[in-house]
Amino acid sequence: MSNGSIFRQLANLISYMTLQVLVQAMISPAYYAVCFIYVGFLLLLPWQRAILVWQLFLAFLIGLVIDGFYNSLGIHAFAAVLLVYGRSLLLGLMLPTPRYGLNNRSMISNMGLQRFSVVVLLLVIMHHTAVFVLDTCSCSLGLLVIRKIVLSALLTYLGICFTHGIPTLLARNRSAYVYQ
Amino acid sequence: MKKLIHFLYAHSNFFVFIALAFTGLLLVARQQSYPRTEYLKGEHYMIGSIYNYIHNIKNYSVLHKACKDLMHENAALRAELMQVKAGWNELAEETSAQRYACIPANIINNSIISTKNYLTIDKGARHGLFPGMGVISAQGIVGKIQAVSDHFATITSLLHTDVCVSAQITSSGVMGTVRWSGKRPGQAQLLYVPRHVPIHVGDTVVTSGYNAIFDQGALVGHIKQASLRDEALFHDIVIDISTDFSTLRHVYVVQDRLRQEKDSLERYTKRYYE
Repeated sequence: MSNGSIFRQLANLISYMTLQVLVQAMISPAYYAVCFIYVGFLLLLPWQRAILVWQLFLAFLIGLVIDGFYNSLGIHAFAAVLLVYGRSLLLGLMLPTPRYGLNNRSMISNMGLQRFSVVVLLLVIMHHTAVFVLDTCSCSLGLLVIRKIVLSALLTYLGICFTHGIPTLLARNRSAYVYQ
Repeated sequence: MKKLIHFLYAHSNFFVFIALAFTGLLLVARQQSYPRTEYLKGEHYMIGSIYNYIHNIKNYSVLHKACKDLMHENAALRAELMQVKAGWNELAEETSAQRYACIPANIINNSIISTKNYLTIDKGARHGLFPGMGVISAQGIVGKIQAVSDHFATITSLLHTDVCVSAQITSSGVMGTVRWSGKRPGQAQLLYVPRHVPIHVGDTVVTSGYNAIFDQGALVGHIKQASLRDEALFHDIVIDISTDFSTLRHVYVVQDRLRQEKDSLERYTKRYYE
């Protein structure tokens, strides 16, 4: 990773965390859905096997900070680590490694809207499931929890699309990405 | 040994993932077994400051509504004051008139999505708050203070599955315990009301004042439905919580000046008999 991209990621991190705090503080809380926009930062990190370990640590730290905001020690830390590792596995499955490994700037944002949506939705649902299931530990798993997961995942997905800019996603076509 | 190190290195991603995930789960499990009290005080302060800052900006936009709410509340309080004045007697002066005091506070963070919900307010130890004090709003009860730092306090809201509130039904005076089941946000259960007591839908449920957290008679909600199974000892009562947590902005912390005296007397009695 070059210095420039580290700075870019740092700016990304700060803006996503600010956004998360703003979303939580400015919008009146709703009973059935919540937007964990910070997930967007973890999803859009560059995908590289070599630095995955550091990304896991980073995810854990970010999770702990978010836990501070939600008064839930450990839940977001776990979910964020799960998300980053799950992302690595999923991208590894979806994309042919040899061609992919050469490319340092491979992000899921280069994928085109369809693949982007599939990856993001899958991972976001996984993350939200972890959060809400851990949160409701002692309670029975009802329809209400599933509704919370689905609505919140949709909200977060829309948030990520919005912050990332649908136009840029549409503009890049898939072939450009595969043979990059 | 060399092979082992090589193996660990080759699969470092996986092992780091397992270790971190396990640490996360451990933290969750630890918090489940005993509720958070004093964790990360520095973070508490920092997060409180951030929310306070945002709250100050946001305040301008809701000033109008807040003003209206306060006017309504003032009107209600005036009415109550008149009643008290009308029925004034000398005995009341000694205790209840001076026993409770209210400290006004603003909510700077509020969550209602999880099963264990917390609020943060902009008053803390400096303003005389300490863990265990009750918090009410104009609409009804809100919760109990869980932890305080110098300038902020976190509240376990009534929408927290571990919070129990001693309550009574006004029409019959019978006692019970209000607890949120973690399912529907606006509804809680009233537990331990014995089956011989007649229950009417629509009755008002208020705090009993027995646990020295809330004063007696603070509104909790209204009975929405009640059922009685054949073999059950207690009624299954669902109440509508009167406080709307999604729009809550201003709260009052209830300060009970005689709380220490009452607690120490009760503790002394308990030690004496056990």
